[in-house]
Amino acid sequence: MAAPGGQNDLRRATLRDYVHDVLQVITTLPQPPVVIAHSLGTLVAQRLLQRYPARAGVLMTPIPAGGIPGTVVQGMRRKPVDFTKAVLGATLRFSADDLFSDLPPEVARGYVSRIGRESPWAQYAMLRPERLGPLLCPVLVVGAEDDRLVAAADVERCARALGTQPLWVPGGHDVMLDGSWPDVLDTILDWVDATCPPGPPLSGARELPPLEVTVE
Amino acid sequence: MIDRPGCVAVIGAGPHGLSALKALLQVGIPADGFDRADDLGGNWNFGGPTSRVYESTHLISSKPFTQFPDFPMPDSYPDYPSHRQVKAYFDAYAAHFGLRERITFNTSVVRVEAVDQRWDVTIERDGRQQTLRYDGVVVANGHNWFPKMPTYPGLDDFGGEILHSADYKGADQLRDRRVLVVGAGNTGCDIAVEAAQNATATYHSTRRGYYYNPKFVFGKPSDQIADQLLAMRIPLPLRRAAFGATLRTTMGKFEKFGLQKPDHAFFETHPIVNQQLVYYVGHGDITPKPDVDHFDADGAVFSDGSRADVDLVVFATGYLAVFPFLTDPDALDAAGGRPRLALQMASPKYPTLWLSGLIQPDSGQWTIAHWQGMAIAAFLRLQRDDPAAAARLHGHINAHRQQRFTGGAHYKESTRHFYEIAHQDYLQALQDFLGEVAA
Repeated sequence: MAAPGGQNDLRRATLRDYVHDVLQVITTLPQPPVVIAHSLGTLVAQRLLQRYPARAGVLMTPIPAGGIPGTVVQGMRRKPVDFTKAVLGATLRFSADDLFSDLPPEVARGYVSRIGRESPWAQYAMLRPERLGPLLCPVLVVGAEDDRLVAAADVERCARALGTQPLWVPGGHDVMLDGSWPDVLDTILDWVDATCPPGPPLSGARELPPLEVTVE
Repeated sequence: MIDRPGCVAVIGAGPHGLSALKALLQVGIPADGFDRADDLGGNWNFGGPTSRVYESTHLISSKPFTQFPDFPMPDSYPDYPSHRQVKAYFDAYAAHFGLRERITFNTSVVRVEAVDQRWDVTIERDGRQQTLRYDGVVVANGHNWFPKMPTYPGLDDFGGEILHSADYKGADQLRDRRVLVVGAGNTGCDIAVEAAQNATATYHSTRRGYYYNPKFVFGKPSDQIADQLLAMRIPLPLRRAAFGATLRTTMGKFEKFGLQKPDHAFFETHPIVNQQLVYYVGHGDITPKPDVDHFDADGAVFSDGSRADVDLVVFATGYLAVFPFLTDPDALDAAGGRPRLALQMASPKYPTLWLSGLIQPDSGQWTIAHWQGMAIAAFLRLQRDDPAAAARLHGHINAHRQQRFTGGAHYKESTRHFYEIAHQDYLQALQDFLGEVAA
């Protein structure tokens, strides 16, 4: 897999490269999509959505742009060696226990074995607080009840910064794969249906139909 | 008369019209676009009525500084895309955000008149007219399409062909002829280079010496190097020194090629980005000339007394911004043909009349088009939701409308620099304005 942003070395890729790659995909779509992001991806999504008017954004087990003190303290307590290595630039290593609460062990191990490496700069971005402008679309913040990585307080902080309340769903950190994923998906789709009215993507176009000129 | 309540008319479906249309729709304001052509793109709609690009046109600022920040050009595009790629990019932008449905094509705007705090916009198609009533108007009709024709003694006696660069479409028009190109804007330099490749003789007349900047330095687009210096907050004199040193090492001293020595400091004229002109001068394929003194039947006589016999004169002498549809002469405070607008966008008289695109940045255009659109849309939303606050803000920016955005340089007085801006100063001003609208 190529590293983000056309970098040929993953170790050089920054979060900005991740945002660039997502926009490159988005610009090939026929209209603005709903952006659904998870974990570190939610930081990419927040940067993206302050610049790009998506239909809506869903941030699952999110990383607040203002930093993750609760998550770091909790991680240092639970896995001091792995978190210290990550701060020094290594990809944070996960066990099945970190990510899943409700999966058969062999299925969980199968998912964990497919996790790739991460850019150290992108990991650092989670630790470095940044101020974001307002997001340009409605946002749903989803927290996982059994998340052992992102602290509940950080999920709350993320939602507060975006002017919303988190919606808590059952499952571990990887809510989109854990045993209860169909329920999580239904919850998200219900919100998207309620939030995104049918019709043109930009709201002004839904206020008044296009002009019909009849210059006779 | 058709009433379009709450709606804003956007005149022109070039890049500035498209970005204004998108920004308005994005903040919840309905908007209708109009273009006299049968397709969008304005200048970049090659062959269209107000398109002034030619077959070989490529961007002169590199991709990252030129694209809309929320809709980057594809990674597959080169650093300097061609006009065809640019057109495809605008098509994709309009399709993605649902803009095309909002634009009425093949329709000219012939009259824009303020009536009872609203606007009557009269459109014309096939000689028939219709008037529509709007809450606001964004003028984005472009400033690079109405030719500025110079006058010279004896020009009427000249027996050859006279062409303005507005009508230059490709090198076929130059082939096997003796050509004089007048003007050293980026277009004039492009045409001189194409003449060097195709004509039998090429003369290039410029009224002063210029800095001919390379498109690439140190293996990168040169505007990216320039912005790295800006990002490091290097002051103007040091940036001038760095640019001078880079130009001397890469291009050499222009005087040694027989070109005029620049009579001004770097950043005082709009940058010319052309790596090939000096190359062809050095090969004798372009003969540099000073100002034209007069013409006679066979050609031109220059201010140094030399002459050139030519078959074709191409006047690459630029364009004027014109707004023939605005009925109120005070709408733009445009004495001497130069509108004096707050932020180079806002009518001093009407808070619901805005112009987008009356800028000529020393960098890419459409990143700024995006932020102009966002600023206009944010203001018009404030105008709708809180007219008193909008009036206060409009009064405030009007009080500062003499302000120009030069990055500390003093531009040469010329119609060419009416709309010149230093992109870093101007973007900062737009950001400050967006902050004031939100406050």
